[in-house]
Amino acid sequence: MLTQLPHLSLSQIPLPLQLCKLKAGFPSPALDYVEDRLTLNDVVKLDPRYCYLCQIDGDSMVDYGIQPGDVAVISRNEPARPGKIVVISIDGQNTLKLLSEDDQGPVLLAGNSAYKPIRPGDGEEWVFHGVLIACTRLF
Amino acid sequence: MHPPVLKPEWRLSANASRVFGLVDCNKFYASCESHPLWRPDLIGKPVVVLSNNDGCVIAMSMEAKRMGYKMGDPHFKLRDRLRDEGVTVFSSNYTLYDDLSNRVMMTLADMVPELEVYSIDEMFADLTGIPELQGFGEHLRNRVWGWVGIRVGVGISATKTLAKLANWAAKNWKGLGSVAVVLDDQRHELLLKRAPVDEVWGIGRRYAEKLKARGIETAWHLACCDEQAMGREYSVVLQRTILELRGIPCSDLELKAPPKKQIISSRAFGTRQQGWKPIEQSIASYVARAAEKLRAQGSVCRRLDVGLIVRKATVDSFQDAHSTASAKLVTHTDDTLVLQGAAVSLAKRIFDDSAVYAKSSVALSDICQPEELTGDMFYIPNVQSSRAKVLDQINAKFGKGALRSATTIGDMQWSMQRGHLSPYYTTRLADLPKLR
Repeated sequence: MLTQLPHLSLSQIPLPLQLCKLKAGFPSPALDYVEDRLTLNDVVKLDPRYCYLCQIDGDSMVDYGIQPGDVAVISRNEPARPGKIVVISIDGQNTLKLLSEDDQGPVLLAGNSAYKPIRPGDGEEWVFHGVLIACTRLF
Repeated sequence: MHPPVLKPEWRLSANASRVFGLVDCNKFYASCESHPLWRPDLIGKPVVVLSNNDGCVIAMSMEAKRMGYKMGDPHFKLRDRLRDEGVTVFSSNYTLYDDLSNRVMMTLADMVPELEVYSIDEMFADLTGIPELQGFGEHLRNRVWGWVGIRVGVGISATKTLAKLANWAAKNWKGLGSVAVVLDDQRHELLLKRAPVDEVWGIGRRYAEKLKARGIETAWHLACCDEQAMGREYSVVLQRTILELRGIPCSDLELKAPPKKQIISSRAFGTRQQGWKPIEQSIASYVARAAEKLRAQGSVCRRLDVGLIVRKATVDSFQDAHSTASAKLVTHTDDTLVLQGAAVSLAKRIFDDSAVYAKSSVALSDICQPEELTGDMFYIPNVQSSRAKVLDQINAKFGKGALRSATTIGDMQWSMQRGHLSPYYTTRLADLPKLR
C-alpha cells in the first residue's frame, strides 16, 4: 500500500499542543480530552479573502515594535479608525502609520521621532488600503 | 422583415421564474497589476498586459484604452510609443491573476446561494429569492472592492444570457453605477433594443454578420424571431439563446465543470530553437503538464498528438509550417512516463535537424473516466498508474516539479520570454509588497 502523503500549506502546519506517548496495552486516559491542534492561523486569522501579507521596509514605526523585515498582516475588512495602524499611499508609495486625531483633525503618526506627523493637504482625501492586524518576526 | 414585435407571452414578466447574476471584474489583468497594495502609483495610469512571450497586448487599463491602444496589437510595433507615452507594460503574471481571481470567488461564494466560476474574471450566481436586488448588487460590488481591491460590475436578470447582457449595460451605459438589474418589461425592452446582436452571449462575430445581413441587428430583433424556425435554420443553441432573451432559463449554473475531452499544452518558445535537445525537453515538459491536468480530473487518455511549428516571419506578417504526428496507445493511461515516451518518439519522427522551431505542442485526447472503459482482449483492469499517483503526491508536498523525468531537466532556453513580469506579490514570501 502507498502511504498517503498529506498536503501541507504554510498556514496549516499543526503545532502539537500536548505530547502523548502511545502505550501498548491500555488506551491513553487522555484520549477523551484531546482537542484540535493549534496552528499559527488561530493567532493571526489570515483570512484568504481580505488579508494580504506585506514586508516592512524602513524604520518609521520602530517605536511600535514594527521592524524592517517584519511580515505585516494587512486586513481590508477592518475600518480605518483613530488608534489603528493603517496603510495609506503617499506620493505613490505605500506607508504604514498610526492614524490619530487631535483638535486640528486627522493626523498620521510615525513611531520614530525622526519622522514628522502628516496631515491631509487642502481638499485632500485620504484613502486607506488596509489596517495592520498583526506583525510577525522570526527570531 | 416586419417590424419586430415581442408577443405578450415573450415578455419578461410572463416568463421570469429565476434570477441570475453575472459578476465580472473590470479590466481584470490590469487591475491586478495596479492593485492599491503593491502599485498605488499606477492607480489611474495607463497599463497594458502582454500575452505569453510578450507577443501582443491582451489586456489594458481604461486609461490605456482611452489612449487608443487595441487588444491584439503586437508589442514590437508599440514599444517606442508605449515608452514615449509613459505606459507601464507587464508580461502576463497568471500566478498573480489566479490568486486574486480566487479571492474574488471566495468572497462571492459566501454571499450568494450558488456560484458558477465561468472564467478567470467572470462568475454566474443564482440570486433567486433575494430581495432588493439593486442594493444587493451594490453590496456585492462594494464588498469585493473593499476586501480584495478589485472592481466588479454586476448584471442581474431572469436568465444567464440576459444577466450577461445586463452586465454589458452596467459596464457601458452611463449612470448605472456598474450594477444593472433587468427584471421588469420596460427595462427588458430597453436593454434588448439598445444591445447590438454581437453583444449577446454565444453570438460570435461570424454569426452576428449572418444575422445582421438579414436585418437582425439588435438583441430585440433576435428575441422577436420565431425560435423554432431559427433553430432549424441555424442551431439549437441559437434557439435556446432566443428563449433566454425572452426570460426563459435554458441553462442552469454549472457547478462542477465537466471533464475536458481534450487537453492541449503548447506554447511559443522564448527564442527560436534548433536541434533535438530543446525540442525533446519542451515536448516532455508539456506532456508532464497535460498529464497532471488529466489526473486532476481523474481521467485517462489514449490518443496523443504532437506538433512542431516552424515560423517564417517578415516585418509585418508571419507564416507557420506545421508538422504533426499522432499515436493511439495500446491502452488508456494517465502515466506521465508512458505518455512522455510515446510523445518523444513521435516528435523524433517529424523532427528535422535543419529546421528552426518556434513552437511545439502536445494534445491528449480520447479522454474518459476509467469506469467508462469496456475491456477487450488487452484490457488491463487498473489503467490509473500508481506511479503517477506517487509523483503527484510528492509534488504536492515538495512543490511543483520537485520530482520529474530527467528529460525535462536542464537549461530551459526555450522557456517563455517574460521581460516585464511583476513579482508574485501574493504567493511568494520573497515577493511580498513593501511597506515603508
